[in-house]
Parts: sequence; structure tokens; C-alpha cells
Amino acid sequence: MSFSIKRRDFLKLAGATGLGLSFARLALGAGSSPHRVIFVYTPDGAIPAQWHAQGTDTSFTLPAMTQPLERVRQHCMFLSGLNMVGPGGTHEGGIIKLLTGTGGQSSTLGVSLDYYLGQVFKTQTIRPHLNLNIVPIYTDKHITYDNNGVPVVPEMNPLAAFDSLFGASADDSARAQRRISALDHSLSELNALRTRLGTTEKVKLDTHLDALRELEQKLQSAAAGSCPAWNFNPTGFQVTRTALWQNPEFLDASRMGTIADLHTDVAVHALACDLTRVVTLKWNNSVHDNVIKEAGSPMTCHGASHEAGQDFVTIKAWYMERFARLIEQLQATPDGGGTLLDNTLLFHGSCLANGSWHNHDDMPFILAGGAAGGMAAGRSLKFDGVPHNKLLVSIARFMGVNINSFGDQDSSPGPLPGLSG
Amino acid sequence: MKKRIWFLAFACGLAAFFGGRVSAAGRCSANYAIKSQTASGFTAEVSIVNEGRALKGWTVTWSMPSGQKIKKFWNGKYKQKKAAVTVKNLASNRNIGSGAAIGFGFEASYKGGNDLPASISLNGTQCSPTPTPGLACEASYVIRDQWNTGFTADIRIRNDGPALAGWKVTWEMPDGQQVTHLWNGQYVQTNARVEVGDLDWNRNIPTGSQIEFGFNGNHGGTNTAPASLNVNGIACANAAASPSPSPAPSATPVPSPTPRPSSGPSPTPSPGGACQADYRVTSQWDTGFTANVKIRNDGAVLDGWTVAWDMPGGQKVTELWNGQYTQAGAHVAVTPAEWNRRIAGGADIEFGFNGSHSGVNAVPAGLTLNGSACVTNSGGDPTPLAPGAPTGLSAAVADNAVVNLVWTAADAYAQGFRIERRTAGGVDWALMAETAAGAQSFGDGTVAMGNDYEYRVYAFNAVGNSPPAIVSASLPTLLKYGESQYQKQGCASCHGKDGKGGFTNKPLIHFTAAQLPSLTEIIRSRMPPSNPANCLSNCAAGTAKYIVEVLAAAASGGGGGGGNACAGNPPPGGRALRLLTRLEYQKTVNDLLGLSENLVHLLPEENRVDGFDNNVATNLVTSIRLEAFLTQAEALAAKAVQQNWNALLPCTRQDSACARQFVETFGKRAYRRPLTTEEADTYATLFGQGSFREGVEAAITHMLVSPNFLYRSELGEAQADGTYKLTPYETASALSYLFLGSLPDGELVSAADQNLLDTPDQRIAQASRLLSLPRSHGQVGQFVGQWLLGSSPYTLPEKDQAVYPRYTAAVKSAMSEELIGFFDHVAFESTQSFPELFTANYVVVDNTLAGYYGLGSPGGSGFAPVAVSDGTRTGILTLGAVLSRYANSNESHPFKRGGFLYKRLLCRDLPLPANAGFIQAPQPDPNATTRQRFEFHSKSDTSCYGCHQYLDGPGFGFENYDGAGIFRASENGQAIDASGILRGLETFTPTEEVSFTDLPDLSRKVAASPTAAQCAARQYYRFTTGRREASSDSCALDSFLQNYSVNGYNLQTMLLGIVNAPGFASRRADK
Repeated sequence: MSFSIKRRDFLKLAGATGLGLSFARLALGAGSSPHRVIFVYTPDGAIPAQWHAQGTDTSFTLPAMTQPLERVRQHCMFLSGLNMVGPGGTHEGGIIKLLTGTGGQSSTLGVSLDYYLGQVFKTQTIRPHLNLNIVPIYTDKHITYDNNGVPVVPEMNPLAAFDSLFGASADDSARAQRRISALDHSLSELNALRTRLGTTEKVKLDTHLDALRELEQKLQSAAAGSCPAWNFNPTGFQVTRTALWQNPEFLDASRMGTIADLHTDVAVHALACDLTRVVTLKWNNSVHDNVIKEAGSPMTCHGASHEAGQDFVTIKAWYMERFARLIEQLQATPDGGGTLLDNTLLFHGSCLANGSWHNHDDMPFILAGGAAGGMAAGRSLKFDGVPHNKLLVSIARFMGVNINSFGDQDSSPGPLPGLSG
Repeated sequence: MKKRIWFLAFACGLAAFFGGRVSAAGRCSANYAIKSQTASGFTAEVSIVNEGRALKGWTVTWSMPSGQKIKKFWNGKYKQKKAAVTVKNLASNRNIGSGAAIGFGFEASYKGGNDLPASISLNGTQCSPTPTPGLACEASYVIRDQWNTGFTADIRIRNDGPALAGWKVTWEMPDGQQVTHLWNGQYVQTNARVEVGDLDWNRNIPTGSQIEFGFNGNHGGTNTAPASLNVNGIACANAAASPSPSPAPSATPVPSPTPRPSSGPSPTPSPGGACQADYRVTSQWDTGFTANVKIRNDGAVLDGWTVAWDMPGGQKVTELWNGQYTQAGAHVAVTPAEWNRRIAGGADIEFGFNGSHSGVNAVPAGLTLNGSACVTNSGGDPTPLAPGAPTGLSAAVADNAVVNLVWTAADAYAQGFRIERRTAGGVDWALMAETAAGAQSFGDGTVAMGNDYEYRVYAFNAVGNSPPAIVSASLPTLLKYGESQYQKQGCASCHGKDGKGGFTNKPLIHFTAAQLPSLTEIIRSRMPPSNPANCLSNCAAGTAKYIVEVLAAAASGGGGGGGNACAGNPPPGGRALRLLTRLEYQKTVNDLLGLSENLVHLLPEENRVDGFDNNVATNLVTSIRLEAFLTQAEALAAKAVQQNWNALLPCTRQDSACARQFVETFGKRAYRRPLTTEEADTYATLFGQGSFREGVEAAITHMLVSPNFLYRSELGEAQADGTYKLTPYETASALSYLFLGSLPDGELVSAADQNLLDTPDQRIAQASRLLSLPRSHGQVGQFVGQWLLGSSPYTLPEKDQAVYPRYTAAVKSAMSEELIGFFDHVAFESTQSFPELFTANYVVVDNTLAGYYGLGSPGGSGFAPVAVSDGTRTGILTLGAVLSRYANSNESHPFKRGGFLYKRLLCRDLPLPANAGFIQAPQPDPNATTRQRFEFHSKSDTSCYGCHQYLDGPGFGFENYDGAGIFRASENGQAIDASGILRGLETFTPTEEVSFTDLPDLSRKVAASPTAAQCAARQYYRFTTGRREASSDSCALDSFLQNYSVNGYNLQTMLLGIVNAPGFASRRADK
């Protein structure tokens, strides 16, 4: 699948005639580039001794689980000693804590950082938050929450994600006009309902309104800048199993590698074209009970995490190999005066620290990239039980959002010291 | 301020010691170290080295010099009398050998200063102080940018000593440099000496943390960096930093983690001084704000002016007064209104505007007047950071009438707090109050009894809002409140639990409804006798109501709840718009357009709650959903026009009358109600722009993305009693989506047209009719699947084919059909009663599944009952779908199966495991049976076993079935032990134990359990209402369960009875 040249011509025309919105990409001068962030999640924690960098500052070695990152170690910051604080425990508490910085109980949900940052940039890109999930089994283990603490369901079908951002629909300006007309009509009916209902179902209708505006904005802008075509989906992956009783291909664990490549490809290109600033790339789900054949272990990730033996090392190293490739892909993408990796901060997190212990102390966190924002990579940083809320604050500040606290578990809020060297 | 800095001077020096006094003794040495400190408290550790002979028992004394008060102590027994502190040994650290040390520590509060004690004594002898450690900080001074006469420098200080709660950094400028502007601190320069103090938000520097500030300065040609920097008087080590200006190290500007000065370090300083600007955000809400701009003209008189600035965060001006504005991208330009063109020298003009923002509302860096930069002041007291979330939020209900909220501000940034409230489980927050910064409590007297509320409190300032703190409060109905107060106030202890007189022989059961006011007054003024002020308005009224309506009624043989129990209770459900689920969407568009499309996996998944896909509150139209709906709408409209043209059109002449007729008839089905004239008019305009066919296609497309199509309305119409009643069309949809999962059929629409869905009989008649349609079975199957699996009945997991090669796609599919078919068989063809779901001695299978289970063929190609004589299949617990769903991809999983039994079949919510920290389960023997391995795991720690005692027993009961649902008698060569203990079946207390020998035995016990039977109906109630029940549902739910129970747990009664449960067709008003 690839998209046509025609569309790019249209986009250039749209840009030249001043049609549509002036997105940040167009407004920025050459050589400067917006900051982006990718939240990468892999399930079920790690084995700390096999995960955390041994040594400090630039003098460290990587054990087996993170060994695949050796070749990109100069782009990574290996963090240890960060805790996810609060009463919520195990997998279920961990997925809540990770990006919300709350106490991890379902009664005290808060907004997650990925959604929060997406809202900040929603007027500047066509997709405030690209929220992707690679082959979950059961889809109720959320890490992303909206302003009301309602879980935000991610996109699981990479072809749908591609179509939405790069697909053929915008090739045809007449079709775009028809779509806008349908959405306008929908908007006027929605507004009639809102007027009639006042505060009743206000949150629901406000969310609906945001979705309408986002889509209209996207159609009117006909996407930001011109995106070079690339050979998307070289293996010809298709979704044909659409019936109720079938498991669609994008949820087929035996093809996880292919599906992950597609999701990753969409994410990198969406960032490169500045169609979004915030990506969540969630691998599978917490308590992942499928065998990942490509990883080379006969055990499930969750089963292996409990045993904390070689199988878990193999599986986790497989995820890290994928993480290394993502870093390399970003580095190979020019952006502004440097590379996309310079302008993108990657955050790797999980729901647990020690997968066998089910605790949240000394989390397997890694930062990568972000050199243009002062992130001094190539180091191993040791902290002493610092709440990870500080890391969330630092990520927000990297994105230019000047907050001092995020979540409610840090009694002396502020950013994480030492990231800039 | 001064005091604080003074204190810090010693804190930085890390226990700089006892004011330099030297003790005479030398028999001991002591060290008193402050480990951390906040604005009002600190932690200290004291260590004493005994340099004399060995001691048996010790006493350490000192005097607190500045009123410090110890709160918590460890490793010793302490007494504090005013300033005098005396610490005695514990039994465990009584002996100190010669040369040995003791240590203890404490938490204490302080006010103002936190001076160190002048001396410390051991057994009456004054100890000598130990030397203080060396440097406690590291500093870097980097000249980031430099031009002919100016420069910008960044300073970073890392605190390597104990935590600081305030700081002052000083240095000497070697070349006469002058600081002109400094950020992230406040500075004073006296000749060469520069002194920088902290700001509120960066005064704390934890150990190992750092602070940064920066400044612009002038230099006279030479610009050497200072030799060293001091923190609180202590010289810091120099960090490796290049003191000379390095040419721009990076093309991209370094983003600042901290606020930057309002004017950048520009090499050509702007003239400035000709004007002054003041940009002030005067109020701010979720997405909008109001700002006021004031400009003073310090130059010559102006006739006409342009004030301009750049919005830093994408803000848009939406309305402006006292001027005219244009905005292009970030750039805003304001020109005069007619009357304020002229600004005299030294005079002001002022204008204001409303704008929108996207969460962060940073103020512009600078404003210009006629192109010249003004000295810009962004708010007199800038608060550069959004405040943190309030902490410690709690809610207490007073007299069931007022909810009192209390919280603590997280920091000093809050300008005020907003308090919002919603009904629990709802989504809409209503603003209750906005308080000043100092307020940390709020009383809400507008609550209504019988409701659960959630409150959120967040702090705000001009920068933005904090995340909210959330708390909930529950107010029972007056009757329930009265019941609880009857116990709590001690009424029962005198009058008896039953009100028949108790040991005082003062019966209450003779009170009648007519005497309710007088009884209330008696209670209010005289009860309880020990403290008559303790039970006033609601307490008295509720207790009286409980006495009359429950105790007296029960004594006279009446009462006991019943159908009227809910009269007067508000309906439990709120007014709602219910988004179609993927499957409802698919069925609806297929019915509407005469298609048979598979769309489920082309739409984004639902946000399940309690396993159900139709939750009212969490399924929202997000952009990915809307885009999928739009894409489908276009494709479906095109396909329908192409395939079903004749069936779609109610008329043949392609004229405007036919267009109107199409809009009205098709629209009524799509919207599931007649269109309003206005709506139909709008649709009619879609015709006449292109061909008639294009008009039809456009109308269908538009309707399929209309909120009136995507949501089914349960808003109702207002009634005289303040409640809302579903309209006949809404009732028709409620029935149709419940039983068919699709839009109402012709009969239902016609009944709605004639208002024939209003009475219980009419609703039951329609429900029975719908349930008799074959296609209702798939919909009942949706309930059964979601109840038992917490997902679509068709979502069975994949398995490791190396372990379970026989578990094929065909087997999976057959398992899903079995699940649906089995329930269907029990409910509609067999006994119709709940127990059979767990005691069936047959399976409902096809040839594929019969072969898989090793049972005889049902004959034919479809699903049919096959008898099971060996007890290997006994209903729900042995369904292949259930067993495969609750297992790993390569093994069975007792915990998942035990959890399934508790959560799905007994409606018990097991708490999530706490954040226990260090639970290292030992490695089990890989050759053991699954049961042995899991048991080893869960019993390895008592904190796990607290919950696992519930899961394990029933979980092990399933062990005769492998992870793909196949029966097995042994595992790894060992016989399966499927016996166990089920704890808390009816009471959820671990002491209630039911032993079972195997799964058939466990099944029989579940079959006989009222808790299990009622749980099935409770799950159905959740499925029907699209939400988790709250306390306000208790009356309606009890009434529904009662009806089902008195009918012998008849499943058809359950399925049908819900349509006449209180609240099915009514909704409460929003609070």
C-alpha cells in the first residue's frame, strides 16, 4: 500500500494558496523543529539485575535484557531508582500509575501525560495524540486516560491508522468537501442537542464536538506540509477477517512483528511530517498471556515474568531489539537541521518494576533521543527512590509545557534533575 | 525571609556544629545532623560515640534552642519538656562499649528558625562536636551567549549536602560586570558582589538535586567568569564548565525547563522605554480566558496606534473590546476604536479581550506599540507555574444533608480552588464553587438523599489548572439513613432491634404514619436521652420514618418492601445518550439499508466496564471513532443506493415531494423517531444540488454521522414530579436494543406512534414478542458472552499450537456457539431455571465440538443436546469457552478461573492486590502439577494469601480441564486433585467454608446458591442499564431481583422482568 503522488501535489497547492490552517511545520523556519515525544510501553516489568545498566554516567554495561540497546547506547539514558508511588498495586495499579502519576487506584483516576500533551498541541497538528496498540489480547488494560479519567481506547489496526493520516481520502478534494458538508450538518445537530441539554451529557457532547472539530480541521488543512511517499506495508498485510466471530488479522499474535512494524512506520512518518507531536506505542497489554513466537520463547510474556528466568530475558530482549530499531529509524530520518531522534524524546515504561515481585520500585525506565532539548544521553543515571512524577514533569517540559507537577504522588514536586547532564 | 536565609546558612554547612563551642569533656563526641527539612518540619539524626569506658544504660540530653518540637522518635525513648530533651536507651541498645557508637533520630516541627543545639550530653557529660564534612555543593557558571557589551549566563547549583529549604547564591564579578535582568531568582548587586535569593517555587533543593537560574548582564569588554560561587556562605566546588563563551553550540535553541526572561538576550537591545505594557489574564477557565491590556505611552503624543504581540501557546482572540483586532497565526494586532485614537504622552489606554487556549495559557513575551517594544509586565506578581493538585481531599457527610470537603493546597501557586460535583457514575461535572487561595474546605448543602456523588477539587491560577483531586460521598435514602441512625444512636439498645420495646419495654411499633411529625419532633427534641442534640433534622426524620414504615409495618404483618418500596424514590438512572456499540451499529445499518455487512472489526473497540461493551459513560465519540463512522457512512450509503435503490425509496417520481417523503420515512427509522420539521427541511436541501440519486446518497451519509443516529436517546420528557419519562419512541428503542440489538421493527414503531408502550402489560407483551423472534437469541448470547467472558462471546483467545494443536479456529467458533446455545437451551427449551445452568447432564454441541470433547455426535450438522453420562460436562463451569478464556495460551490458570467464579458468577469484587513491594515468590518445581505450582506461589506470602484464599480453592476445582478445555484425569503423570474449599460463597467472609470434591460438586453448590442466582440477574441489570449499579439503584435492583427470586430464579422472568423494573422507562433529573 502506498499513496499517490496526486495527493502530494494537492497538498502543495493547498499550501501555496493558503488554503487551510497554518500548521506549526509551515510556520517554523528551516533548521528549527518542534519537539515530539513517544511513550513506549512493554508489558509485565523486567528482572532488575538483567535490565538496569551496571555502572554510572558514561561508564556502564548493559545486561542481557537491554543488551540490544548497546548499539544505540549513545542515544539512551538508562534510569534506575525511580519509583511509581501510591497504594495501587501490581499490574492493574501499574498501568494507571505509569502515565497519570496518580496513586494507581481506579477510584482516583487522572489524566495521563500522553493525552494531556496531545491536548496542548491540538491546535497545531491534525492528530493531537496518535495512540497505537500492538496486538493486545484483551483490551481493558489501558494506560491512556482522558481529562475525566476515562480510558482512551487506542487504535489497534495499523492500516486504519495509516488511512486516517496518509490515506487516499484526501486525494479527492470533492470528496473532502462532501465529508466537510456531512460533518457540518452533524455539527449543527450536535449543537442543537447541546443547547437543549445544557449540562446533561455535557462531557460526552463536548468530546464529540472536539472529535468533529479535529476531523474538520484535518479535512480543511488537507494535512500539514508535504509528506514524501514511502513503501508502506511492503508485505501486503491485509484485514479480511471482519466478521463478528473472527479474530481480525491485526489481533493475530502470530503476526506480531509485521503488525508492529506497520504501527511503528505510521508513528515515525506521522512525527516526521509533524502530523502529530505525541505518540503512544503500547506493546500488547499488561498481563500478556500470548506466546510471541518471533521472540524465540515458548512461554508467554506474563508466564515468563513470573518465572523470572531465561525465557523472560529472551522476550524482554526481543522488545528491546524493537525499541533499538525504533531509535535507529528516528535517527535515520532528517528533521530540521538534525535528525528526528534529536527532536523526539522516547520514554520506555512498563506496569511493573520486577515482573516477578509485582512491585513498583526501581522501574524499568529508559529515555532516548531528545538531544535538541538538552537531553544528555549515553549515560546511566541512578536515583534513590524518586517518584517518577518528576520524570513525567521533565517530559512535559521537554515538550515546552512548563509544569512543575504531574499526578499527585510527589510530595516535593519538580522535574527530574540531571537529565541535561 | 531573613530568618530563613540565616537558618539555611547552617543547613548548607551540613550540621555546622554547636556554634563552634568546644566542650570540656571529651568522653564522648556527638553529631546532630538535619537530614531533610520542609517549611515547618525536619528530620534529624544524632550519633554519639562513647569515648570513655563501657556504659550500661545511657541518657542523652540537650536543649532545643528555637522551640523545635519532636513529633516522632526512633531508636530511643524521648521526653521533651519545653526546650529540654531527654533520650533514654531502649532495652535493645542499652550497652555501649568503649569506642562504640549509638544513633537515634526523630521528626520534629519548627517555626521560624531551626537552630542547632549548643551542646549534647551523654549521661550528664557534655560531648565534643564531630567535625563537619566538607563542601556540600557544586556550581557551574556558563556564559551562554555574549555580544559587544552584553552577555547571558546560566548558573546551576547542585546540592550535595542535606536538603535545603531556601538558598542564597553569592559571587564576586571579576571584571565589573553588571547584572541587568535575572530569572528564576531575585538578585541584589552591590559593586562586584552579586547575591541571588530563591523564589517560592524553587526554594527547596533536595539532596542531589539542582537549581538553575540565569541572567543578562553588561560587560566592559572583558568578561571573565567568577572564581567561585557560594551557597549560603559555603564555597561550592566548580563543576567542569567552560567559562568562556562558546559559539552557538547547537542550531536548535535549548528549550528552557524554567521560565525565561520576558525579553531575550538580544544582541541589539530594543530602545524600550517609549511605552510600558501590562498584559494581565484576569480570569481563566477550561478552554478560555479573559485578559486585560494596558499601555502607557512614554513618548510623544500619538494619534492612532497599533499594539501587537505574538501568542506563545496557540491562543486565539475571540472577542475584543475598546479596540479592533486582527489575528494571523500567533500574531495579534490591535488598532483603536473611534474614540481612543489619541494617547497623550504619559497617558494610558486600555483594552480587553476574550480568547481560547488549549490548556496552557502562557503570556506573551512582549508587546509592541507602533512597532517599538514596550517594557512589558505580565501580571504584577507572576506565577509562572500551574499549581499542583490539592492533597488529602476528604468528604464527610453531616446529617445526610451536607457534604463537607477538606483539602490541603499542594503548593503556594494556587490563586483559588474550583469545586465540581457530579452524580457518581455520571460524566458531567457541575461547578459548585470557586474559593480563594486560602480556603481549604467547602460545604455542599445542595445534595439530595439517595445519591452518590463525586467531587473534584482543583487549584487554578493564571497559568492553568492543577489536575483534580477526587473524592466520593454517599448519601443513603432517608429511610436507609434512618435505619442506620436507629442503630448508631443506640435506639435499638433500649427499644429493641425490632422496635417492640426491648429491655426498657418502651415499644415504638404503635406509631402510625399520621404520627410521623410528632414522632419526629420527639426524637429531635428528646432523643437519644443521653444527648438529645445528637439526632436532629434528617436523623430525626429518618429514624421516625424507619420506625413507622419498617418496624411498625413489619410488626403488623405488612411491609417487607415490595413493589411500592420504590415509590417516591427518584429513578436510579440518569438521562443519557447511549452510543451504539459496534455490533449495534452493524445490525442497525444492515436493518436500515437492507445490507449484510461485517463491520465490527472496522470500528474502534468499546471501552468496556464490568465486561460489558455498552457502558453509557465511557463510550465516547472520539476522533478515531468518528472518522470510522464517517468512512462507513460514505461506503454504506453508496452501497445501499447501488444495491437497494427500489427498496430504499418510498416513491418512484424523483421529485421534491418524493425527496421529502424519503427524508421523513427513512429519517424516522434512522433517528428512531420522527424528524422535526426543521431537521427534515435541512435534509431536503441536499436534494437539487446534484442528481436525485446523489441527494439520497448524501442524505443517508449525513444521517449516519448524525448524533441523532449514533446515540440512542434515553433523555426522556420532563414530568410534573421532576422526573423524566422516556418518550414512546425511546421506550421502543430501549426494548428493541435490549432484545434485538438493533433499531425498532415496524410493530414497535407503530406501538410507539400510538403510545402503546406506557403500561407494564404493554411493555411485557412487546418484550415477549421480541424474545420469541429467532434473532433475539444472538442478542441474549451477547449478554451471556459478556457476562461470562467479559468480552464478546466470539473473542476467545489464541493458544499455543504446539501445546494445544487441536484448538483450531473451527473449535473456537464452535465453543462460542455452544456458550450461546447452551444458555438458550436452558432458558427457552428446558427448565428455564438458573440451577440447570450448573447441573446440566448434557452439552449443546455440533460434530466438531463433540469430537473435541470426546463425546457422541449430535447427528446432523448443527448444534443439539448430547447427553453426558460420565460427569465430565456439567454446564457453565465446563463450557469450552469459559475454560479456554480463563487460561493461559499454554496452560490452565487456576487463579483466573477462581477469579472468574468470584467476579462473574458471584458478583464479588476482589480488591486489586495492594502495592506490597517485595514479594518474591519462590520458583516452583517445573515438573509439579499446575495445582502444586500455583499453590506454592500463592501460599508463599501471607499478604498474597489474604485474597488468594478466595481464588485458589475454586480455581483448583477446574484442574480436570486443561488450558483449552479438554478433560484430563492426570497431569505430568500425577492424578488431578480437583477438590477444594470455596470460601465466602454467600457472605464473602473467609470463615464461611464450603468443601467440594470436584467440579461437578462445586457446580451443584453454585447452582444452589442464591448469591450466584442473583448475580446472574445483577449482571443482566448492568447490561440493560449500561452502567455499574450505585446505591441509588438498590431499590429498583432489589425489586427486580425479588421478582426473579419468587419465580424460582426463572431465566425468562429475569430477561423479561427487567422491562418493568422500577426505572426502566424513567430517568432522574440531573443534579
